[in-house]
Amino acid sequence: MKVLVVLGDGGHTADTLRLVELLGPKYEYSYLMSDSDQISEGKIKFPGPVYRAPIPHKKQQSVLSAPWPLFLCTVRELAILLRARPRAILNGAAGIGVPISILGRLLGVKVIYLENASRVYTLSRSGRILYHIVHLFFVQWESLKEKHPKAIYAGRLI
Amino acid sequence: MIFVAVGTTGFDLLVKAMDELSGSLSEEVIMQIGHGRYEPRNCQYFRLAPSLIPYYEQASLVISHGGVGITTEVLRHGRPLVAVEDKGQPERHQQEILRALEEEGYLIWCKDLERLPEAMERARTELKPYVLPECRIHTIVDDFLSGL
Repeated sequence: MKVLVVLGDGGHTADTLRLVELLGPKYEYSYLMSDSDQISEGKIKFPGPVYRAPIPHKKQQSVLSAPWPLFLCTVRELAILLRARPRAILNGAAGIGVPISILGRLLGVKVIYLENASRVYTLSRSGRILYHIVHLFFVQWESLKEKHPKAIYAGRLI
Repeated sequence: MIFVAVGTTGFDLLVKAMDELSGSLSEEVIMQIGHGRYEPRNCQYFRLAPSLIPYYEQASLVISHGGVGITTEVLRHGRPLVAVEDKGQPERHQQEILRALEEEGYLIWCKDLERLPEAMERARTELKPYVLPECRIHTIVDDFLSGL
């Protein structure tokens, strides 16, 4: 089964890749990371095609004030989705995971979201957007589950 | 050895404070300083390394900038940790995990550099070994995917 793993930068990579390690080599993995990410690719344990997309928005910037990067990201991710043809997307709380998760959902791909372990009391922006959209929504602290009943708390990866 | 790790960006205030403190410490200090501008005069340092794990393993105490990656890596290696809050860091949500881990007694969260020596002392005496809550995320994902 083909699984597309979306990797964010820095600490966002650690828990997503730990989950992939626990899931093991039985799936056919491909990976999506940002154009500027020079670290994540070197940490991949189970090799597979690596796709890249531009970041949809700068940090602390509203998407609506700068729609062009979001548009470019969405177009690229649609092409990636059609090429990689995953059965499921595993999205590790990265900004670049938002458009592809929504596109995937529209195209019948199962979408799994893993909120970053750094989130204890509040969801990340991508978590707030995707909470109602994805099939499985994991949080890594019990305190988040209290405010977001649809979320699944099943321990922590890091 | 006391190991100081500040991530890629750097954290000049912490590096400078530790550089000045190092003369009064009985142990050697080694620092990873990232792209920081301040270069230590009194201790060994390097900017980046492919892995910091060999340094954690030699350290009796680790002092970090509170980044999530380094924090959890140090805890999993069972080293006492002082996480120093970097007030110049825009990602304030990192504070959430520091607060939660501090409340569970796994690290010392130092919010004031002037109190760093006290925080280092507390890290050596007050902390509990890190225990991850049992993780079933992968089994739930497996069950979900196998039902497709």
